[in-house]
Amino acid sequence: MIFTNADPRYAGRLNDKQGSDTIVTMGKVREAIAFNAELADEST
Amino acid sequence: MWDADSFLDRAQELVKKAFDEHADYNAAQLDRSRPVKKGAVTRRRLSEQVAVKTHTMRTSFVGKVRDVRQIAEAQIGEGLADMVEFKALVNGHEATKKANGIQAWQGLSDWQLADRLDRDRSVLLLPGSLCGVGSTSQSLGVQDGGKSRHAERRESNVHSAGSSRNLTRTFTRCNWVEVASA
Repeated sequence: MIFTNADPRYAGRLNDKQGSDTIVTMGKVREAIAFNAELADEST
Repeated sequence: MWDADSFLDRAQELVKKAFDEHADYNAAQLDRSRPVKKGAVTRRRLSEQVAVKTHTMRTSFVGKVRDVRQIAEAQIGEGLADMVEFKALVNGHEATKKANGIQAWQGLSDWQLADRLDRDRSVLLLPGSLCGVGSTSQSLGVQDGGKSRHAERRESNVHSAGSSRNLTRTFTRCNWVEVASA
């Protein structure tokens, strides 16, 4: 899947300050989902 | 719909508590890291309290603003003035429900998950390690030919996973974070 940055304030890299699209495999998407679930859990 | 009095009372209490905790935290940090003259510490404490950045409270206190209303000529102190009230969801509330909802996506197949993310326009926080922050291994540079070629190679890898649809045309928003996952 191609992910685009939702908020330019958080986008960017050392060599690409504006940020751009990034391709993430479905396996990595699932890792990101687990990461987000963990973040939501920690906020409780 | 609005239980204005109780909501405002609770909100004011929570805001006051958050401000107090923030001030205490700042004071403790200053005491620990800057052993300076007593007078100077006092002045800095006061300035820290005055200079609380309320917009940063959004990330630590207010999770989501649900509603807003304007009250014309409300009694504020001894005078009358227009007032705007916000109805907000305090951070942490319903977070478990959100976490469970996100976790439930793991049970979907790849195609179902892709459709779900695309349909909901979901916003995910991606750790820097997933976005390739600090390296160009996963970057898709529009203006940089080298990066674009690399991206095309990655696309072909995705296609070779046996898909009959063009997943790479599915755009979903996400945030990029500069720091790697903790």
